Formats: sequence, structure tokens, C-alpha cells
Amino acid sequence: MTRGVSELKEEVGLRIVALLVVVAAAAVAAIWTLDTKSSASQSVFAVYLAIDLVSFAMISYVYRETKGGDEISRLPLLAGCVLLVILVAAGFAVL
Amino acid sequence: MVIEMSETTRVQEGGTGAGDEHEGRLARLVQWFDARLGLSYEMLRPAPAYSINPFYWLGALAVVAFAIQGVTGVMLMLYYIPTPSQAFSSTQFIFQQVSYGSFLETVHLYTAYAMIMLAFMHMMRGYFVSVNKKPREMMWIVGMMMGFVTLGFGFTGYLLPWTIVSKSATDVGVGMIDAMPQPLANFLTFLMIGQGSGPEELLRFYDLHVVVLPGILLLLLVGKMYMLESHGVSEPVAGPVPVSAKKSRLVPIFPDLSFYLIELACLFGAAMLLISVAFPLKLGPEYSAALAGQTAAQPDWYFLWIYQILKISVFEGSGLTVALGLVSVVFVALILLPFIDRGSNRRLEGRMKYEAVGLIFVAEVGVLTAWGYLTPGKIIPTEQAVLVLGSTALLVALVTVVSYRLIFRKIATGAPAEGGGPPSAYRSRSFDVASLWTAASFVVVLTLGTFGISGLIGSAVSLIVGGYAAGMASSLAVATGELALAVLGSVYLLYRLDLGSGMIRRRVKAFEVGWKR
Repeated sequence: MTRGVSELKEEVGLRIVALLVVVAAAAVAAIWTLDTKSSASQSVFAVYLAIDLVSFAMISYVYRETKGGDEISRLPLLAGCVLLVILVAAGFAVL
Repeated sequence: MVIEMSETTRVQEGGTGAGDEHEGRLARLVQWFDARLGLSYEMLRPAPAYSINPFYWLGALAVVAFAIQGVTGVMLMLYYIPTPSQAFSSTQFIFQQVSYGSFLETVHLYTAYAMIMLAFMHMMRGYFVSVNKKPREMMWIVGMMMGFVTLGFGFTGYLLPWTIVSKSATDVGVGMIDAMPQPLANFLTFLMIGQGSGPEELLRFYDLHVVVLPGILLLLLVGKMYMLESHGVSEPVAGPVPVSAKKSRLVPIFPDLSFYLIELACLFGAAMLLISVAFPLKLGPEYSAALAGQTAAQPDWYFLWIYQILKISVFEGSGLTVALGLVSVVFVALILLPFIDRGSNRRLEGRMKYEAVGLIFVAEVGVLTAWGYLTPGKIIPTEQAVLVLGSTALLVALVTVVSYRLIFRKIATGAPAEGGGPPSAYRSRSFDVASLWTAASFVVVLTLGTFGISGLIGSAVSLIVGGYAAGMASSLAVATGELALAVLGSVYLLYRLDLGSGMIRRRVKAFEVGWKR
């Protein structure tokens, strides 16, 4: 059974989205564990909220690209992933 | 979901059209929402694919910044008390006692800065690609009004923490009201300061900041959105590279453009959060009349360029009215731009004059802002101001002229000789030694003109303010002579250039005395 290009693209897109949803959910969970009285947690809150926003932007981008006729451009995804890694590391560093 | 190019086309598919069988779960989920919320049904005009570009949505990002400010502002309102005795202490309470309070304040301030910067970028982009042309004249005017309201947010919000810097700077701003024409001064006094007491002033600023200005901005926004829906996104300016058919195809607002805007908004929000973490705001000392005398009043950065103009020595004292008049002329010219720049030409090569003026304006605002930041409270000698501002204008004008020559000459060289090529003016010119001589002559003429204009303004203001003086009258005469020479020189050089390119239809023999052919 052969599959169309659009189906393959959809499958790849879904995998990326699933991964991003996990990252965003982990960031939300981390936000809920913060001590809101501590001033240091302000920075962690902002960093994890930024992770959520970047993840959401990437999910939206994957959706748009999956719908389009061309292949998913890798460069923006790669840049987003690098940014997410930096933000996660920064979050841990501040903690 | 590509739609054929047509002015009246509306999205008809609504998520149930052709191609569904190829789309997977993610697309079906979006279509489920679309089918129930009716987002793509005959509602919004589809946009051309070339508008999927951040430069087309700078205004939308300013609206996102406004929304963030609305949310953070409402949170701050829960704790802030708008009375002189408690304004600072309640702000301090937010900084020190409220969970994430200082972060909230920082985000509120930085998104305000971003909103002002985005509004300015949106305006200048609109200027350079001349979006103000028919039928978008009213969109431009409404947009300008929105820009003024945005500056009003900055002005009224700056006072609220009641610190030395914020109160002193606001006092300087409010002090300018006296230099305005009487009816306007009366209205502004009633609107902003009432009887002039601290509590009344603060309360009025607070009301303007949280009720009046947001209301006005929302009304203007609705009007502008309506006009955008009616006229659609402006076509890209005709530049050196034509727009491809792929970029010209229409895409629906939902989901394509909506998702793109969501991406932009999310990235903008993330950037604001990270900048707020990296550069947290610090609250300055509380205002007191005794301490205020020791601090140089300095407005926030977006008003620095105006403040720097007011600090030029020629405008000190009674000259303030003239300076405010000059700034008003700039603002009025910007508002009335669609009626000043009335031609229908949007091609870059035919708009060098307007592009140069726009670039000079941006450069002057940048220079004045940086200069104002570096010289707080210092009066600027008129000669120094003329030298700095004049040379900035000269440099930008020269760079623009040379860039135009190089860019459009290059295109002309590569263009076919017959039909569809650029105008003959661009084909026949070459950037040779003669052009360099012409450019050098222009430098001399422009320098003369710059000194002429500044001398004319300086001596005219002195004569108006200080009455007749023989010295000033002779300065005025010299400056007028300089300006006349510069104008004559410019006309001569332009004539000579245009004659070479074959663009002159009626020849003036007096200009050709001594020419070799």
C-alpha cells in the first residue's frame, strides 16, 4: 500500500507537533510548581512561559507548512528547536 | 486552499471543499472548529500570499502589544492608587510585595515601548511604500491618529509611578501648554491639569491613561480594520524585482493568515518576556519638590527628539512657540501626506525625492534622540545644532541619490533595449567623472542651502521674539542670499543633468552660457 506525499507530510508534522505539545505541557507543569513568593521564580516563570509561546508558534508553523504544497522548511524548525533548548537550559540555570 | 486572484472573491470552501480526503487529523481538527465557528465563511477578505511577511503586520503587532498592556494594566490597577500621597507607595508595593509584581511592571513598560516603536516602524514603512495613495487616504489619517493616541499613552502613563524623573519630565511637557495658542492651551489645561493641583493632575492623567485613550484607540482600530477589510492589503510597491505569480495568489484569512499572525504574536510575546527578564525595571526615588530641583528633567526616549529640538538655544524663552510650531508642522505634514504626495506613482525609481525626505526624517529623529539621551538638561548652541542636523540631512540625501543612481542604473544596464525597459533617463546616464563633479557641486549647493535655511530661521525667530535689531536684519539678508544662491545653483544643476538625459522639453538658453557641446 503506497501513501501520498501529503499523508507522509501530515505524519511527520504530527510527530513534531506531539513533541512540541509534550515540551509545552512540561513547561506548564514546571510553572505550576513555582513558589510565587520567591523573586527568583519570576525569571523562571517568564522563561517557561516563553517556551510555551515558542512551542505554540512552532505548532502553528508546522500546521501551515503541512497544509501547503511544498516541503516543510527545516530552517525555521531548527531555529525554533535551538531556541527551545536554550530556553530550557536557561530555565534550569535560573532554578 | 489557494484561491484564484479576484477583487470580489470570498472564501467559499469553509473546510469542506476539495482536498479533504488528502488531509490528516490535524487539518481535520482545525476544520472541525472552522465549520462550527464559521471563521472562513464569507467573513473576511482573503489576502495575497505576499502579505505573509512581518513587514505587512507591524500594525497588528502593535495591537498585540496593546492587548498585552491591557492585560498587565488591569492587573496593575488592582493595586495602584492614583493619589500623590499613595501613587509611589502603591507602585513600590507592587514592586516589593505583590507576587511577580516587578515583572508585571517591566512587561507593561517594555510592551509600551514596543508598541511605540512598532507604530513608528509601521508608519515609516507605509510612507516608504506609499500606502497612503488612493483609496487608502483615510486609513493613513486614522493610522496617524492612532499613533498620536499611542504617544498619549506614553505621556500619561509616565507620570503614574510619581518618581522624580517621571514627575519632572511631565512638568516640562505640561509647561509647554502655556506656549500654545490660547484656545488649545485652555482645552489641554482643562483636559490634563484642571486647577493645577497634584491630586487633580494625577487623577486626570490616570483617567486618560486607563479609560479615555484606550476607548479612543479601540474606536479608531475598529474604523481602520473596517477600511482594511474594505480595501484589502496594499499591493507591494513596484520595485526592481516584480512580484511572482505564486506570491500574488490569494490565501484565506483563516486558517493561513490567522495562524501566521498567531505565530508572530507568540514570538513577539516570548521576546517581550525574555527582554523583561534580562533587563528588569528598577523603580526610581519618590518625587519631592526639593529633590526635583537637583534632577535634570528628561522625557522618555520617544519624546527625546522633540525635547532636543526645544533645547536648541535659539528656541529658548519666547522661541518655544516657534519650536512647537515647527514640530507641529512636521506632524501636520505627516497627517496630510496623502494630499501632499498626490501622484499615483508608487514605483521606487520615480519617488527619490519622497524616499530621501523620509530617510532624512528617520535619521534626524534618530540623531536627535541619541543626542538628547547623551546631553540631559544641556542647552544646545544653534550653530552646533545646524552643523549636526544639516550634515545628517546632507549625508542621507547624498547616500540616497548615489544609491538610486547605482541601483537603477544597474537595472537599466540589464534591461532590454526596446519595450518594457526603464525610462530613457536611466538608460542614458552613467556614473562617470562628470557625475562625480555634479555630486560634488550638489554637496556645495546643499551645504549653502542648509546654512541659508538655518540662518533664515534663526534670525527670523530672533527678529520676531526680540524685535528689530540691525545685526539680525543683516543676518537675515545674508541668509536669504545664501538660500537664493542655493536654489539657483540647484535649478542650474538639475537643468544640466536633465538636459543630458533628454528629459528637458523647454530649453533655457541663459543656463547654457559657456557650455561646450
